[in-house]
Amino acid sequence: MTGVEASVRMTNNRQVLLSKLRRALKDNESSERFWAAMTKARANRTALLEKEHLDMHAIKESNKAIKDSSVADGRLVEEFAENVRRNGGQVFFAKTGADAIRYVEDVSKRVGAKLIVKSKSLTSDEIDFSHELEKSGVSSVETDLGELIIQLAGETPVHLVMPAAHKSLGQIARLVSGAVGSEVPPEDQAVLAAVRGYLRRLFLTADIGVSGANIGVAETGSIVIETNEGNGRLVTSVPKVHLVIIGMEKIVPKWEDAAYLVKGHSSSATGQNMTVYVSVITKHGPLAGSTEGREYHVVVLDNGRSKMRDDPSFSEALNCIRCGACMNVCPTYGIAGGHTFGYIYPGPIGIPWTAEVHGLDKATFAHLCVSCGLCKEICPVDINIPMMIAKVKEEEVKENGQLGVNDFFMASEGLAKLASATAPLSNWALRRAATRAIMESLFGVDRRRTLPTFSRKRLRERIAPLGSGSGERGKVVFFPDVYADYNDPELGVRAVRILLSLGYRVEVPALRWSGMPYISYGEIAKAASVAKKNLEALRPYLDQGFSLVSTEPTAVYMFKEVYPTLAPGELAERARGSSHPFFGYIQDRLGDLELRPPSPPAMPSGSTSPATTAPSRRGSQRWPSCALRGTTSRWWRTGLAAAWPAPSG
Amino acid sequence: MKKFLESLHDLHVKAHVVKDETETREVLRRILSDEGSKSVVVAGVPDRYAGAVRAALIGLRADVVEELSGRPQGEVIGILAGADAGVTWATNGVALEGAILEVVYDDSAKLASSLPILHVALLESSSIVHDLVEALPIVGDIVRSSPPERKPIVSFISGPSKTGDIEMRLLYGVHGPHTVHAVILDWR
Repeated sequence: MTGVEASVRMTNNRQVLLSKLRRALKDNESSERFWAAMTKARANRTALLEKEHLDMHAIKESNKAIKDSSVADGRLVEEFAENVRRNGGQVFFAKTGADAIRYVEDVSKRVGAKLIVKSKSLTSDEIDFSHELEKSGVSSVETDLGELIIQLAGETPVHLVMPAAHKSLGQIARLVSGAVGSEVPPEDQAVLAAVRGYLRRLFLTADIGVSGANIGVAETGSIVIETNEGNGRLVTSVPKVHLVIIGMEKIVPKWEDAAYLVKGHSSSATGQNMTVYVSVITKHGPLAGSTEGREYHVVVLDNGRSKMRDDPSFSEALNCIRCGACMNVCPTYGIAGGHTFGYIYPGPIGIPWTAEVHGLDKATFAHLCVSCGLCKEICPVDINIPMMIAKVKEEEVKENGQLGVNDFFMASEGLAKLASATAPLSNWALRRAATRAIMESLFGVDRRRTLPTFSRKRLRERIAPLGSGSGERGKVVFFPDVYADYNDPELGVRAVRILLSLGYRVEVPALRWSGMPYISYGEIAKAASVAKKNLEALRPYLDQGFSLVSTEPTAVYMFKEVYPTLAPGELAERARGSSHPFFGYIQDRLGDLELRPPSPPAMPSGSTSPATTAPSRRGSQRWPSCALRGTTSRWWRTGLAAAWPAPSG
Repeated sequence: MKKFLESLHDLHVKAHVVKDETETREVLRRILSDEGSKSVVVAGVPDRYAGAVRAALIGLRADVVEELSGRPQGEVIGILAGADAGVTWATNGVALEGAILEVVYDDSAKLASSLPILHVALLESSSIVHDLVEALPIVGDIVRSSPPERKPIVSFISGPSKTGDIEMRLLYGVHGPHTVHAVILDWR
């Protein structure tokens, strides 16, 4: 047992997570392939946004408004169901996954079904549809290529949109060979031809076609299905029975709403203006004039959704349109993969969904989140995923106890004060292998983890001789957070000096740290208390029109994105509007400044996330490196082998 | 129209703008003979253009099926699955997304554009709308105004069937057509 494990209250689920993580980190090949897929998905999205000049901010706003009001409106589901029935379809409300399965079994039995063809439906994956149906003697075959690969491999999807992104062509060819019963060479076209032939036979002989739905439109009782391969069109028209499984959160009032969601979904999911096929189905059509045996069923699934809707901490998760964009930016998900960083729903948004739908005990992987906030930034519905993840961590910790190493880093504000007061002795001690061995066994701080050094002379002491400046250009509160105060005050001095020389008045009031580690480790109440204290201390400065500037990316992120949730109100909103990352602040104001920051990263402007550019694999080489380097790169250097995330400076 | 043609090009759809009946016939004949189609199903082409389509098909040594109703469902599926080209009607073109809008009332017509390996869609140049945000409410109107017993089956189609599921490579031709032609009727 390592020190890390000793310090963690090792519930069975945490143990399983650690061993899965170790395995995942060893599987370099899958991991590299997966990382490449994420990178490509991000690039496709960015290319589309640029090509079509899409205003992501506007897309986020309209999508959020549509989803917020739809999810909250309980009558929509009724209206949708009424219209499906009016058109001759049958509707079944399934409280649980088991209810949904039972309904499908009943339909299958009645029509004597032996074979179901299924087009990609995450909602049916959620209820383990194929395995359950198999038990009653009905085989259910996935027809989306990625889903088929996953089904043949006996796995769960590694990504919502790219379910088999971790598989190589060779592995896929072997799996397909097994299914068709003859050797398929590892060539793209050979695999496609084999799959087309294999599934064509099944399409033509299946008794029931099961599809999901991206959107339900209440006013006409219609569903919208988006696919690229064309399997969705066949599943919904060849078999005599078409059965839809739709989550109750997918229903919107009107067609105009659906249009915006289709655009928001495809651009974020695959970087397409729209998927190749967008099908709108209102009932099961006749075939060559014959309606004999042609039935249409819609199963509306609750399975924890109404509970989520009524819980203010998690209702926003229902706004998810399943585009998978949050997965493509998540650094730890990208390295660990969706089987480790996920249950059935993988990735960042998978954390609240898993906790709510499958249970807290399945959501232990929440601890792999490093709270960088990129998922919220890229989400086309602007879902506050990081805050929901903090909530899941909080609940998990309440149930199973806090991790020792997290307790240690949450105490780092006080520890930094102590280490600074005792420097350079503390630095000498921290370099000793013996100290690190003790820290590892007592607190679980992995000995490979880089620890900062501490400075005896703190920032305020150092800048005192500089004065507070003329203020001819404006007034700034400089917020050093722990790093630029205790560890590298020279960083703070340089930043303050630049601000002063540009004509700003600079104040460094005594504030607490940003409290970021509390969010990272699920101690929301402590984070809220720090937020309130800091905001109150800032009030007089905000009243006088000071801006708030920090070299610490996590601190700016806290002020802009987290404090308004932790301490909602006019004060937090004012602080949000006044907060700036150091470089952004001087760049926005002084285009002609001699000092030039490195060229801006390929993320939307105004990014406030600690990870200021898309993460690179296992390293920090793509982060801006300059005299005023923030702490972001240190996050990634800390080494995931230690299992638990590093704190902010 | 210019944006529509650009989008179609980007999405691997082969577009043809035809000015009159003769050109329509010639273009259709050329597409089908170049692709080597041996059996063709035709669905939903309005009377005004049906003559040109029929004329194009005469002389091609291909089986042509225009009428499927009345046959048993199994036979209909067999015919459609055996066809190697589907010639269908699109009510609108969508410029920004490069999509054609198919509105049908029978699944056999939908299958004519989904089962064969070649899909040829006919549409009028005057039917092109700006984008999906304009087109989806049109669909909504059609769905709303149809009686419950006869609801439309609607598909937007923007290119040949494709997948990225093998190592994220963009590959064309999975379950749907591998080749899509749009014949844009610009008759005066």
